Amino acid sequence: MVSVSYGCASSNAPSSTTPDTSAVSDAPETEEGLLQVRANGEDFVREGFVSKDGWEIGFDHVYVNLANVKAYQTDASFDPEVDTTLEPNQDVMVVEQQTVDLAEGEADADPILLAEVSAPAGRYNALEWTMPKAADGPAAGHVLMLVGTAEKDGQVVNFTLRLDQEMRYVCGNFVGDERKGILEAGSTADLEATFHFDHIFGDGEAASDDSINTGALGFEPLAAIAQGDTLDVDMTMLEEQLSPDDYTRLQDTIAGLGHVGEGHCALEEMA
Amino acid sequence: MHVKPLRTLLVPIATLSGLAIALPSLAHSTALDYTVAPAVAVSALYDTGKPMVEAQVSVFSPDDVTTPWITGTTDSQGNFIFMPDPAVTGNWEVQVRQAGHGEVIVIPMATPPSVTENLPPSGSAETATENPEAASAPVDLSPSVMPMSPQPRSSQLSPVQRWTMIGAIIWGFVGTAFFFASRTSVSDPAGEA
Repeated sequence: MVSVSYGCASSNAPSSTTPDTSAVSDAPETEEGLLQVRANGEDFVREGFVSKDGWEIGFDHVYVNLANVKAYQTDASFDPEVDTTLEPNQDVMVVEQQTVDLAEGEADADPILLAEVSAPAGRYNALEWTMPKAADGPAAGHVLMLVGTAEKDGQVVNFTLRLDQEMRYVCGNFVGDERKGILEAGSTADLEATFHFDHIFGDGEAASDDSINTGALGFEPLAAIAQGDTLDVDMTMLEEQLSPDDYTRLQDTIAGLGHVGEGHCALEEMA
Repeated sequence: MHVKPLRTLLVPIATLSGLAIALPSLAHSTALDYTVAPAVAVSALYDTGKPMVEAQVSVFSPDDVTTPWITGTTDSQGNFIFMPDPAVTGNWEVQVRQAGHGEVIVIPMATPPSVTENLPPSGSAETATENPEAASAPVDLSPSVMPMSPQPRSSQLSPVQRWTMIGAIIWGFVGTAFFFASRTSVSDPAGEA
């Protein structure tokens, strides 16, 4: 049994198998539609927010490196929190590798379209992606790079956080205001990889004892290790400068970033 | 207990026993009826055991997975009960959301479940394994079918009702016996064959 908590604790994500298509040649041709996959950093990234410890945080860039983004049609009851295997009857590779800036666009911008591919009609109720270190681009050598400004009581910290924790996420149904992944022939459907950055910094609008805040690092520990008004660190430096508890908390919250809307994902740390 | 034969007995009782009482008609009246059918109770909890109180619930039928069949909110214990259309079999889906946390659970409905006993919703709650390392609390949605299938109403009669009916039946037999006995004596007053 996979023990998953929001993607907040390390666990073994379900193993997946490639569907056997050896007998497909005699089968009737499957009708297709367009399947889109988007990446969403939510309002926290696009509009900024107040951390659990009162820091006003705004982002200039939030680079996330994504790879092997696959959409699956699988058993309707697939639950990444319970199921240890993913046995799809249809899989579609959407993105092989791409670095995306989740802070791109205006505050009211739509989630960022990663790719749009032709895909067999059906219900895509599972989404998988990995977050390896980027080979090139603005975040080369890193999985995540957060660039922005934090301000509290007149103190300003210009931060660049280069995070190297490589993860794999396997997620189930999108949970949100609308249902996603239901692709009819000749039409378009979308899926979304959602990143909850309030898990790292907490949410000043939520109660202090809310689970979103009790597990979050906040920004205060990061501000404490800034050099004047600048914080430019990678994971090695963070491990050296943060307390062991804070560093562990940071690792846990980074791991818990990946969601599908409000839906949870199984996760595993990549070797 | 068979209801129909009982009713056929009670009618003669009312007419033959002479106990029928005419009631005045009511100026205002109401009609209450009920249907007993399978229901599903979903218990929505965080892994801390804390219920998801007043969480948004959307239920999707197998016929339409995009438009909610019914919406509502969980109660103070994190429970939500609904009665799926028994004619619509397949995977019913329940989505529960609250404060950025959410989950979908799939409930396969084949045929109406057999009768066992009525389970209170609170008895179906299951708490997920706690993860002390979790930064946030995952959601545990525990569905349980509340097994209720059509039952004769006589099975739900109170003891007072049952004894009243038994007494009426006995009195009916006695009354009927007297009635036929009196007819026999009239048709053969001398007892001559």
